[in-house]
Amino acid sequence: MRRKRGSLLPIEAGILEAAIRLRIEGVAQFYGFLIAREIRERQDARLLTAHGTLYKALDRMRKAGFLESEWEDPLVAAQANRPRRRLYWVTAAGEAALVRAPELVPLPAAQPERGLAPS
Amino acid sequence: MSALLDVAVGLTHAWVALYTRGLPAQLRDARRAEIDSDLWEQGQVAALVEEPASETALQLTARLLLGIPSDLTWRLDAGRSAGNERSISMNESGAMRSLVAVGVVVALFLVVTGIGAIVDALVQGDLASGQAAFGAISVLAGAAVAAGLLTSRRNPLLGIGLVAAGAITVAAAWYWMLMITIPIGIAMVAIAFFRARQTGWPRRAASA
Repeated sequence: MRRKRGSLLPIEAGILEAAIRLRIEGVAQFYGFLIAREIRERQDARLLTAHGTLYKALDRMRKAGFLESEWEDPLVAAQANRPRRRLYWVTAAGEAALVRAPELVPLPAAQPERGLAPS
Repeated sequence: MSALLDVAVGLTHAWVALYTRGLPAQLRDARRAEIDSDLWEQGQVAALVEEPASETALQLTARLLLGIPSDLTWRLDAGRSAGNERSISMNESGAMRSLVAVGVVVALFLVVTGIGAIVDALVQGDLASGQAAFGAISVLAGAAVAAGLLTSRRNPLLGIGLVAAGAITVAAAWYWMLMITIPIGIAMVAIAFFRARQTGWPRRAASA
């Protein structure tokens, strides 16, 4: 889909909104399934975002600089006895893009002093 | 886990394995690991909230099917980017391929001629006359030219070196035909050189 540079697709705006809400709730980093579940709850949808749609959007947003990511420490995953998560967080560029989005749903009061980096 | 859930998870794994096939290992493994993690997380949450396995299987299948168009476009983009960085054999021009084919035919002519000279010397039992040595040199030179032309994209220095060595050897061995062997030799080296240049060499090699 063609779009203006810096503008957001609905799925991207949904991811950013959900990620920022998670951060406000104290979850600084998110992983794919968590954000899919968050979006479903926010939109009161029955289905989770499709794998292809979700991970393609995350990849695109990471390349656009809206998100950053890193793989979880393998020891943490091993201790929890689960596969490693790829952890994402919203960058300043991502937050700015969401603020510029015309169809933006008002977010709860921002807490800029907490910064954008993962805790 | 119910059979339906097993099938849904298996289908998702199979689909991811299929569309990531042929991608660079890092990209392929990252996507597979991310989907693995997602499937595991969904299974855990489903178990936690005691969601019926059939409902989870349905959710997974829907997520798989609805995401296929995005998976395919992502795969096309990823493959294109990887292809641009990686090799180039796919986008070699038709003219260059034709030139390489002609060069290889000429090189094979040398090989066949050389083998003929060796066989003839063996049949006549006249190995000491130098005909067999001439044949062996022609075979080696022809093989070097053909191998050099074919490897000049993957390994430019080796490829050009082999072609040059073969061409010089032929010019020396067939010295009475210098008017023909020198221009053909130069043309062969030029083909190998320009074939190598299409890969970005020597700039790409310097920046690697």
